[in-house]
Amino acid sequence: MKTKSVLLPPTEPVRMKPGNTSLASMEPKKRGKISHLETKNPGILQKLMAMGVLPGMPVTLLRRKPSYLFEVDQTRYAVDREIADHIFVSY
Amino acid sequence: MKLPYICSKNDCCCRNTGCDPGTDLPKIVLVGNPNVGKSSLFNSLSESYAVVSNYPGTSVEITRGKGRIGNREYEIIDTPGMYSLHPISEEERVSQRMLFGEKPYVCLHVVDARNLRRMLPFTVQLLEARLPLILVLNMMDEAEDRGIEIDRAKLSRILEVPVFGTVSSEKKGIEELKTAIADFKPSGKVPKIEYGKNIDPRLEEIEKRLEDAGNFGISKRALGLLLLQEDRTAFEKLREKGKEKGCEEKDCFGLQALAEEASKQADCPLTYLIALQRQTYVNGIMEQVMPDTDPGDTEGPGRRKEKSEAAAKKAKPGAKKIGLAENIDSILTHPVLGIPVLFLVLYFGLYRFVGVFAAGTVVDFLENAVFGEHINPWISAQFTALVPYPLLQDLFVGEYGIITQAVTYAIALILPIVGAFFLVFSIIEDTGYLPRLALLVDGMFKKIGLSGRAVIPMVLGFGCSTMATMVTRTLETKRERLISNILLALAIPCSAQLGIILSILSGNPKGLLIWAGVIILEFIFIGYLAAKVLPGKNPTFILELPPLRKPRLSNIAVKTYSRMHWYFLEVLPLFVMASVLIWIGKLTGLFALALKVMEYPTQWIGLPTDAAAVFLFGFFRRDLGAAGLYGMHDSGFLTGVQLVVAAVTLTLFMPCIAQFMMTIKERGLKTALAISGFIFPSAFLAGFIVNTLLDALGVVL
Repeated sequence: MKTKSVLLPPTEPVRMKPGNTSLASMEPKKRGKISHLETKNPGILQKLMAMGVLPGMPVTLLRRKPSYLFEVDQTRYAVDREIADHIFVSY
Repeated sequence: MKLPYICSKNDCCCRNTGCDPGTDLPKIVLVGNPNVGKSSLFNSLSESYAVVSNYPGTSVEITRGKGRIGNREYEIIDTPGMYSLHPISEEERVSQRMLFGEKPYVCLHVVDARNLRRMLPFTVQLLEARLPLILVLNMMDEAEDRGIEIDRAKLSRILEVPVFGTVSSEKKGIEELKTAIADFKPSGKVPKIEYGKNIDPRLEEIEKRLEDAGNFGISKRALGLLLLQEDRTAFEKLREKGKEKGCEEKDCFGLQALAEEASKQADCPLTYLIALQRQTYVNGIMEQVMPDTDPGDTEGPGRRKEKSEAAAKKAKPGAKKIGLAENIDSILTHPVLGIPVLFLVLYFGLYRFVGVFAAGTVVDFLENAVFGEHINPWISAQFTALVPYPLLQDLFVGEYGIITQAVTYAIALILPIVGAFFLVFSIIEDTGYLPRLALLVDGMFKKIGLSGRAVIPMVLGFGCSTMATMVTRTLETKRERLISNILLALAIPCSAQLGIILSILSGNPKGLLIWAGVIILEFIFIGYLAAKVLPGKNPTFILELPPLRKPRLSNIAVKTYSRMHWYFLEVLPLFVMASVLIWIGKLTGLFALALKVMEYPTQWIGLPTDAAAVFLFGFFRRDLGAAGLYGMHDSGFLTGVQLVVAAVTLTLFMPCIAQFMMTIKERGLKTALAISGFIFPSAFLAGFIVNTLLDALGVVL
C-alpha cells in the first residue's frame, strides 16, 4: 500500500481530475484548495479529517523538506510523504 | 505527565490517579482538541495543578481536582486532548470512555478561537450526544492578533449553548465563565444534521432498535453514528447492555451486522461522509458568525494580499509579533539551518547550563562545601555523641548511610541537576520548539522505526525516563511505543546521570566525544535492529504545529517546581531504601557477596574492582550509580579511559526501579523483563568493546 502510493505518478489518470495534484507535488507557496482525500487507508483518512484537513479547505504548501509543512485555514501541519500523498489539491 | 502532587488541600488523594475527590460533587469536564489550553483552564478553575505546555499531547492522563465556584464545590476533570468523539489514539479513548461514563454537570468544550472552523464539528458532536455544554473560545488574544472576529452572541444563539471568550493563560474571562457555570441550565436543542441516504435511514433504525436498551451516557443518535463508524467503545457499550439484559450473544441488537452492511454499500468510508456533512453544517454556521472568511476563497494572490493587509491593519499590534514568529519559525524548520539551531540549543541548554553550571559549579559547592564540610561532619558528630551504637551510626552516618549518602546525594547532587534540566526543558516546551524538532528529525527517526513525534518523549527522557515512558502513550502504533520504550530504557540517560557524566567528562573533551559517539551509535544501532526485527510497518507522521510563543515566567516556574517536587519524592525513598538495604547487606554479608559477583563484569570492562559498588548502586537507580561514579572521580580513582568506559556502561545500564515499574504498567511484565534482560549484558558488552578498542588503539585520555 505504501510503496504503491509512493510510486504513483502525480498525474495518475484514474484518480486525478484535470488540474488536481497531490499535496506532495503541489507548488510551494501557492494557494490551493483541498479537492479530495485518498480513502484507501481508513486510519490516515480518519486522522486527517479529525485534524481538520477536509475537502473544500484552502491549503498552502510551505515546505517539502525536511518534512511536508502546510497550512490549512489557520493551522500548520507537518506530515511525511505517505500522508502528503493522501491529500489532493486543486488550484 | 500529570503531576497532581501539588494540592493546596490534603484531601485530594494526591498520588492516586483513580481517586475521586468527591463522589457526590457535580462534575465539570474539560474536553477539546489537543493544545487548546484545557490544562491551563483546569488550573484556573481548580485547586490542583496540571502541567501546561505548548505542544499537542502534554496531558496523557485524566486529572481530577476540586474547585469552588460561587458557593458550591465541584469536581473538575481535565482530559487528554481528543479530536472527535471517535478516537484514534489510546489517550483519546481514555477521554471518550470518561465522557460516556461520568454524567457531567457540564462539559466545557475548549477550542482555540483561531481555529473555530476546524473545532466546531466536535462541538456539534458533543451536542448530538446531548451532553450539557458550554463552549469556551480560548486564546482569544491570538485570534485577535490575526484579525479574527467572532460574533459570540450569534454563535450562542445558533447553537443554543453559552459561548465564552477567554485567555486562560492570563486568566481573562474566567470570572464570567465561572458565573455561567454556576447558572448553567442545559439546553434541549440538538443540531439536526442530514447525513444522506447511506446513513440517515440506518441511524433511525439503530435508534429504534435501542429504544428500550436504557441509558448509554450519550444520546442514541451519537452512539449510532459511532457504531456506523465501527468504533470499538461503542460496540463494547452495546455488549455490556446486552449482558445486562441477559443476552450472551456478541451482537445482541444485530447492529454490528447493520454497520457492516452499511459500510459495504457505501462507495467510500462512512467516516468520510459523516465528517463532510458535519463540516458543511459547520461552514453554514461560520458564514453567520465570521462573515469575513470564506474557506472556499481561492481568488488570485492579489486579492488575497489585499485582504490580509486589511486584516493586518485591523490587528496592528499583533501583526508585528506574528511576523517575527514567522521568521524564527522558518529558521527552526529549515532543513539546513535547523540543525545548527538544534546544536546551539543542546550546547547551551544541556552542556553549558545543566552539565557545566548545575552539575559542575552548583553541585561542587553544595556537595563539597555545604554538605561535605559543614552539614555532614556536624550531623555525624552530633549523631555519634547521641547514639553510642556503632550499628546505628553506620546506618545513618556511615559510608553508605541514610544521611551521609541518601540525603546528601538527593539534595546536593540530584536535585540541582534535575532542577536545571527541567528549567531548560520547560522553556523549550513552552516556546513550541518540540513540534518543530519533530518535523526536523522525522526522516531520520523513520530509519529506527519511529516517527518524528517520538522525539518528544525522547527529549523528555533526558529529564526523567520514567515520565517519558508514560508519554510514549501518545505514539500511535504499539510497535512505535515498544521501540521508544526500549530506547528510553537503554540509551537515553536521565538528567541526573547526564549532568554528572557531562560534568565528570567536561575536562576531557575527547572522552566526552567518545562517550557521546558510543551512546548515539548504540541508540541508532538498537533502534535500527528493533525496526528490522519487530513486525509491523513504520508509523506515519502527522503533527499539528502550534504557533511559537513567548514562554511565560510564572508557568515555567510552577512547572519546574512541580516536576522537581515530583522527582524528589520519587528518588528520596529509593535512595533511603538503598542505604537500608546496603546496611542489611553488610550485616548479613550479602553486600560483600554481591560486590564480589559484580567485580567480575567490572573487571572484564577494565575497571578497578572498587567500581563494582557503582554498578550495584546502578541497580537501584541509574542516577545513584552515576552519583557513585562522581564520588570515585572526585577521589581520583579512575584513569581517563576507565572513566569513559564506566560512563558508557552506566549510561546503557539498567533503568531505575521507577522506570521499570512504569514500563511494566505501559507494556506489561513480560516485555519489561525482556527489555531489562537484554539491557544488562548489552551494557557490559558495550563497555567491554569500548575498553578493548581504546586499549588496542593505545588511546590515552
